[in-house]
Amino acid sequence: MLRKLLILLVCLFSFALNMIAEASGTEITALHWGVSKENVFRVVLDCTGPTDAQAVLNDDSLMVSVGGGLKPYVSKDYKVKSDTVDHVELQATGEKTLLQLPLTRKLASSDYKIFVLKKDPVTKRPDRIVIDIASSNLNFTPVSGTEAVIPGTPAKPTFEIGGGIKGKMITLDPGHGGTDPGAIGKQGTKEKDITLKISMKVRDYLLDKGAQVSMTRTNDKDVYGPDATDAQELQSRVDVAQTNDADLFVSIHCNASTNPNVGGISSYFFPKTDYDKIAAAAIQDDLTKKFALDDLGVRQANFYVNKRSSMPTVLIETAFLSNQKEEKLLRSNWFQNKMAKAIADGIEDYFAATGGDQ
Amino acid sequence: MMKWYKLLLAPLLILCFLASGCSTPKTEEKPVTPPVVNEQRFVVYRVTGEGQGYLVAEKYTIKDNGKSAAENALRTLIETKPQDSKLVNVLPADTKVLGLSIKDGVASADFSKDIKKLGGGSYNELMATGAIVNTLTEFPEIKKVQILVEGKKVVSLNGHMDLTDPLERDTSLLSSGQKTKAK
Repeated sequence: MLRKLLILLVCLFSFALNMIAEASGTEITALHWGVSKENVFRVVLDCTGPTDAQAVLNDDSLMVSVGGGLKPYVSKDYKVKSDTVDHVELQATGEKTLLQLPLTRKLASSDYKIFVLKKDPVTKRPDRIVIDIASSNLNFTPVSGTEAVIPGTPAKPTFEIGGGIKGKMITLDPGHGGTDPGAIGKQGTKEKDITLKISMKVRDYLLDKGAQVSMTRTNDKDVYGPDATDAQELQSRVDVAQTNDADLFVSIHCNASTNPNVGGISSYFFPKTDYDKIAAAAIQDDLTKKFALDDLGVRQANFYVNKRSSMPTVLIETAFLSNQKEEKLLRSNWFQNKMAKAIADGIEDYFAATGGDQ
Repeated sequence: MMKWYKLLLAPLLILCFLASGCSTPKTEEKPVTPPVVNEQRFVVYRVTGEGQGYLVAEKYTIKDNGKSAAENALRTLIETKPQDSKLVNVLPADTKVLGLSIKDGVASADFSKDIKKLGGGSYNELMATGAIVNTLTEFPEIKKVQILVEGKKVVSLNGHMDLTDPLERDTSLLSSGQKTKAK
């Protein structure tokens, strides 16, 4: 145990020295927080470059000093939900930024860890400082020196919840495409064209809100390849969300039924995480508030993209192409716009609402 | 408690005796043999035609044709129109049931490739698979349903569902008030 601690200290020290040299000019651009399924409270600071952080643990607070300034537009006070911390404050002190976490219970030094994540060009994530605090009923397994502090150790494939939409990675999947037209309306409207148009508009709204967006397709193509099997095609869409380490995966479809009288909006989830249903409900709520179409509800379904992805996933059925009235709506630009805005607002609500109380 | 029961039993027996027309008591009461089973009763889940998409149970009684009731229920679902005109059959009209086998609580329902002509959106796929699975899981010996096309596993019928693993009964598709089995 003592040896492990020594290794840890040596690692920490050399790492800190190394990082201080690089820290000049670095600035914090955003703070995100969330609570994992294992009830670990996490704060992530996005930075413009590599930096370091040191923590001081007191009885009633955890103070983290981060090398680098604070961009003026970053909020300084955050209300959070966890069993250890209820608010987080940032304080710019010239070359350093102080992160204050007032504690609602006493922590042991093994209850928290601080580490850096290097910039990741693949997922377009910036350099980050991460602070994890274990919940009261779950301690971290003893830290084996290297794991916690080696810079750039890739984070476990995970997703962030809560803390607002800024900086969150959202993967959008316009349903069908290429050789697969999806449903076709009486007027000849193809599902693949409408889902792409709406998805591209959702992307713009999400980018405006400060989110990061990755797309399974941005033109009329098969994601896997022409005439692929359902398995190849659906899995390749899930793969896009996985490789982008998405926090939320949203697949956008138009519905169709053999019965032309059926119409309405529905949002589907598969309950593989605690947040799938919450995300679906947040989106469905915005959709049904803004449209006078039937509310078919938030429904559980064994859909491939929902089930086979690791992050919370929602499949939205915007409206029915088999319903004459709704086909006309789906074809119109204003409806696509309104639909896209409602979806983006729903996603924003999801990240604003999720916290530590689930 | 016992005494009270016996007291009640005595007049009842007398009443029975009187009711039988004071005829001589039957020497031997033969146990009633159940009639020869020549009909099957089962329910089939149909899709509501309008408004909210739900499944509604329709009751059927058919003459025994040598096939299992589960297979007959499946054939009725696929090959016949609903009794109630407000309900619809969302499965493609040409679809044939190629077979139904049950092993370890999992029913393998094999359909002709016509079922892949399902078309429509996820709604159709959800309702079609939901009708099949809920109809078959009415039978106590069936817990899950594996949908096969021409004897092979498929991932989906029209690009939404994950049918790789057997599906369980989905009561969320049933209209409220019939969340439990219909029988």
